[in-house]
Parts: sequence; C-alpha cells; structure tokens
Amino acid sequence: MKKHHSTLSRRDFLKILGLGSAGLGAAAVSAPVIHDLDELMNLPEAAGKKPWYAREVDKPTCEIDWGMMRRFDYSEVMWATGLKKALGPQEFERVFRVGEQNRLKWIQEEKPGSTLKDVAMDSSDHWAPISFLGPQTSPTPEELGVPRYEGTPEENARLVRAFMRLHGASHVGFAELDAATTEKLIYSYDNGGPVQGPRLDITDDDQPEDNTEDGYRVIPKKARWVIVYTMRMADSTLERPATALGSRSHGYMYNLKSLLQGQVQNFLHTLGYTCLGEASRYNALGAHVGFAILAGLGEMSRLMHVITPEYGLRQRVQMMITDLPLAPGKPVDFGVMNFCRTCKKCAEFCPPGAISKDTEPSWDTQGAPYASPGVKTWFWPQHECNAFIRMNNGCAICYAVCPLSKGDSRAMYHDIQRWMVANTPLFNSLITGMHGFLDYGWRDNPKEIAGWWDLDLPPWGYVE
Amino acid sequence: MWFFIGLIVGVGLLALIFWLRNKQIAVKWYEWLVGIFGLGLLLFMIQNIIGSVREVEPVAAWQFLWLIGLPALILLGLAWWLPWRRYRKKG
Repeated sequence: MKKHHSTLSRRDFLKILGLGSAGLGAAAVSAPVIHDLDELMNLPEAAGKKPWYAREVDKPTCEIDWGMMRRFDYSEVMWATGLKKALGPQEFERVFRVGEQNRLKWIQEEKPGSTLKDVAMDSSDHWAPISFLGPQTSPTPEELGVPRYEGTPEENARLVRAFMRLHGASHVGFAELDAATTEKLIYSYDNGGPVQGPRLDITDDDQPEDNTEDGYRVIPKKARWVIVYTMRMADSTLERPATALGSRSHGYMYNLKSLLQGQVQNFLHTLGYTCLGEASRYNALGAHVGFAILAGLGEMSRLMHVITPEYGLRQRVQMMITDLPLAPGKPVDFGVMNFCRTCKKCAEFCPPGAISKDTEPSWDTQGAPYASPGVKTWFWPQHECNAFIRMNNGCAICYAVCPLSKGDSRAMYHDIQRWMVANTPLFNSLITGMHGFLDYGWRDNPKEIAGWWDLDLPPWGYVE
Repeated sequence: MWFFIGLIVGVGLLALIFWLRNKQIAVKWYEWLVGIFGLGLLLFMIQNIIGSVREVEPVAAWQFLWLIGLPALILLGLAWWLPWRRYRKKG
C-alpha cells in the first residue's frame, strides 16, 4: 500500500472521528470498514475518476472573461432580495399569498403530489447547526499532543474526497483561489437571507473571523482551496416536479449538506486545518456552479446550472474553503454546451417561459441585477422562474425534462447516448427525440405522481 | 446473471456448430457476421430491458423490446434462413 506522510497516527484520527468501526447514516449500509487514513485515501471513491466519455480540457467549455467579472453581492440573487426587487413589493406579496392559497386548495382537493402527506414530506426539513467557522467540536492536533497532518496536495485531495464520499457526497472536486480570476467567484457579501449578509473580506490575516456584530467575515488568503461538492437528488421525486413531493428532492439534500459540512469542518479541524463553510442552509460563500465547472465536476448548461456526466442536473452543489492544500481539478468536456445549443427542451417546457430559447450563449446579462457578468451563457429572467416556484410550491420541470439528466442509468443505452453527445453533435436531435420516445423525464400523469408512495425505493432513492 | 447468459450463449453456439457439422450445413462468413450482429443486438436488448425495469422505466423497457428486439430477430432469422435455404435446395 502506498505510504503517505502524516505524522499523526491515522488510526487515532479515525478513532476520534468515529470512522474506525462504521460509516455514518446511509453510507454505513455499504461502507467498508476503514482502519486508517491510508485505507481511506486508497478507497476507489477517493480517485474521483471521470466517466470514460468525459475528457479533461484546459479551459471550461463556456467562455469566461475574468476581466469583466466582479465579486457579486449574494443578496442580489433570486433566493435573497432579488425577487422582491425584480417584482416590486406588491407583486412579491401577491406571489407568496397565491402560493399559500394554492397549497391549502390542493391539500383540500387532494391533488396528487400536493396532498397533506406530500406537503408533510416537503415540510419535514431538519437541520444540523451550520456556520462559517464550523462546529470545532473535534480535538485539534495540539489538544491530542501531536503535529498536524501533512500530505501532498494530491494525497490531500484523495483524503478529502474519500471522507466526503463516505459521508454522502456524490462528486467532490477542488479549485484554487487566485486574486485575478477565481477569487471573483467568492461573493462580496454572503447570504444573509432576506437582508444583505456579512461582507466577505479576503485578507492577509492568519485566522478566519466571523464578526456578526460588525457584519463581516474574514477569509484568510492562506485558505486558497475550494472544496466543491455535490449531493445527488433522487430521480423518482425530481421527475414529479411542480409538486410538494417533487420539491422534497432539493430539501433532503440541503438537509444532508448541513450535516456533511460540519463533519468535514470537524475532520479538517482535527487534521490541523481551517475549513470555512457556508453559514446558510442553502447557498453561500461563492458561485458554486462556477467552481464546479472549474473543478471539473461538469459543464455549464442552458439553465446556468452545472450538468455532470453522471447525473445531469440532478444534484445540489455546495462549497467550502480550506487552507489544506488540494490538487485542483481540470474542467471537463462531454458535449453539454453543444447539446444545449440545439436541444432547448427545458426552455420549451418551462411553464412561465423563463428559460432562454436563443441558440447561442451571450455575454449580455440583459440588465438583470441578479446576474453576474463575465460568463458567456444563456442568461434568463430568473425572477419569472422564482415567482412560478413560489406560487406553485415548487417546480424544477427543467430538471425533469433535460435529456442529459438521468441519475438512475442501469440501461446501457445511457452510456451510448452520453458517448455520442460527448463525441459528435450529429445525433443531438435524435437523442432529444429518443428521450421523449422512451418516456424518460417528467411524470405528469396524476396516477404516476400519486404512485410514488407505492414505489419500493432503495436507500436515498438511488437505483445503483 | 451475465455469467449465466454467457454460459447459455456459449453452450448454444457450441451446440449450433456441432449441429451444423452434423447436418453438413455450410455457413458463409457474412452469414456468421449477420448472426453475431443479431445476437449482439439481442443481448443489448436484454440488458436495456433489465436496466429499464430496475430504473422503474416500464415504457422504455417495452420500447427497447421492439426497437432493438425486432431488428435483432430479423438479423437472426436472416442468418438462419440463408444457409437453411441453400441446404434445402441442395438436398
């Protein structure tokens, strides 16, 4: 077995972290017994191997103009204050009122996917405490009386990936922060919910700081590595969108994120490193999609979301920042940008017609205050999307109808399709047509929606 | 499962070769090619149907049945019929 350079007993680490005897949660179902960090690093999951049809490339397939890009205030986005700004206070109030009325009406009507049991599932959120600095409830190397863990960036990447995969992450990638480029993907102001969040300062300070009184957070420049990770959402719920049932696809993965983030922060704390997390249950710190693309987890899509080779759009993307050196990944190309040019299925099915139907991506943000310039993509009026979601208590029809989005892919057809998309745009129209012909995607039949409760699903709803 | 499918296909092919020799039926190289391609399609169809059932995609499973199964049967039928016709004429 390959030897790594940790100076602290790995067995002790694992004992402290409770990994020696078992995995956690659902991971424990199939988790191997791991005795030390070497074994953890040598798990197949640690390699982060890309599927055979995805090629590593030097530049992302979507063009980026770093000169045009500025750090962006998160409070502008749709999920913070952006919707109210775009709609105006009266329309904003109306949208939420309609949402509440619809929820009550559909429960009373027993509309499939929006009945009381569906609403109960969508309302079942339960969260672990989440913070910028992390729980810090695990001992430091100093407290253990040992030097901190040391490894090469490549070894560290394997270590973190193995740990996170064991704890429920689907993809784990890494990007390096650079003042002229990738630092611009870090928000200027963090997520503050309905108000502007704390300022995010990137400084030469040695220690991070979360100053809630004065409203700022410090990211030390020595914390230069971004951990960007995904958590796969189940096909069966995502394919029943615009319902309370479908909305749960997103909720249960955000719940998992709140647990996973603290676990990673504690893990790195005991290894002797800083890990800065998102102080929000949802998105914070920086542009997740941008980091995911740079780290090679997937490609930009028409929706301005990342499409991964394995699951398409069907995952939530999250991030953390650490001072543990991590070997950055390379962007990947598996034909998504070309496919999105011609497919447009998401745009055709989008109920409010919010998604762009332009063939070519553009630099033009169309004046939307919630859009950050510097990326050539398909910008679209996201407030129309968000208003529809609020009124209908969920949507994500685009996630359901995308021909590249299929998490459960046992049939060999999916690999052939992905290979074709990656290698030639010639069959793109055929693939879009086949998606409908094979009845993949959106289950809009009331019987099928209601039938979800009778499915015999595997753990997490994944058919592996 | 694929172990047993491989076993059945292997035993079946061996039996076919022995039977062809026994009956002195000559099979041309392109007939073997058509047959192998048809068999490949048949196996591809089986994999996709089983995969679709596991994905809880019943419509896809049915579509694969005729979309791949029909050409597979035509090719296998052709690979059978061509040498059989020659044998009958000879015989």
